[in-house]
Amino acid sequence: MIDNNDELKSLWSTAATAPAPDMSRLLHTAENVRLKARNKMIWGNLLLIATSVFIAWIWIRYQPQMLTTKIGIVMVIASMVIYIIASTSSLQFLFRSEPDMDAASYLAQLLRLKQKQEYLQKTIMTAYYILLSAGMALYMIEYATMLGRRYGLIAYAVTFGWIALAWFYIRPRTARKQLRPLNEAIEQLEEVNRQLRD
Amino acid sequence: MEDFKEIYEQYWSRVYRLCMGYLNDPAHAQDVAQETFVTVWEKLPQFRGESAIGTWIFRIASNQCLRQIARDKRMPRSAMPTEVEEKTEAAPEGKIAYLYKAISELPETDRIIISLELEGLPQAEIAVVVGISEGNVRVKIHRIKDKLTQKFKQYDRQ
Repeated sequence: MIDNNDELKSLWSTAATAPAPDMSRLLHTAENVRLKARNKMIWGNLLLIATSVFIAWIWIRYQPQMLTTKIGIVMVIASMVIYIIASTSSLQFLFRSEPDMDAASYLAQLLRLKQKQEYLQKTIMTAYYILLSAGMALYMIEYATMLGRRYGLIAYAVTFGWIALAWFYIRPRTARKQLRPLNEAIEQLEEVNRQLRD
Repeated sequence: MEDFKEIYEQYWSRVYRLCMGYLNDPAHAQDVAQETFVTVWEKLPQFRGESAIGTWIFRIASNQCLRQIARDKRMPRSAMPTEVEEKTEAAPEGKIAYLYKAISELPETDRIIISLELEGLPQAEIAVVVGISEGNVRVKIHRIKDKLTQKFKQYDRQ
């Protein structure tokens, strides 16, 4: 029968614990994890540079004449840059938390960070789609006029059909998938934050 | 390095028990305890002694537990590769298992508070770890213990 404090305490203190892992191995592995994260970031940046070089090459190789084509290229690059920045961990520094503050402040901070992440994710995704669609539409003007009216119209119909599919079908689906775990975490954090206010 | 070694040896079991109280899952508790000590290792040079070292370590450990809420559930739980994970202690049994289970069914912050209390931290120190007043800690501990005692009455009847 457990009906007082001391019994709970003595029960607690008799609980067996897992043996402590070897310290140097623990620290060594932690270091490796950190290096891996850094390498991932370096690869992300290389990919970014490669994309820009590729577009610059297209620009030089095909010498677009119209301003719309050039603006289109810049917008498409911008959308890719945004995508790469968001999908690699380049923005992690925005979401770093202080691990040694008191639990109440820590929880409040976690909640703020998750809300910021949600906002950023939504904004980035919208910006990505708008830049990519508008960029492609502008880029195509020069080449569509060369195709003549009929084929030009077909080319635009296909492109806009694709953009509409991406905007109205793919985008909301991706958003739901990405935002669901985030929303769940936010809800739970709000609830846990409330626990300390009672 | 020597400082850390001492801390590691002195606090491993205590941090592990806190994690078990919070999570009631030996493998997950071990992961979170390891992450706590990696953070302690990284932050130790910046520790200015504004609180007792134990209070500081328990703050980090509590926050590591609470951080599990915000973890992306689709991601692998731990960044620690399995090679670090030594053989985990077999799952606890009997009354201790029941105690861990009962605690892990409490609201998140209550789990932290009662685990620290059972670990023997003074209530003033628990207040500093959790960030609420000492009076509030006292009231909460009283309520939590009532709940646990009720649960153990059910256990005795089983």
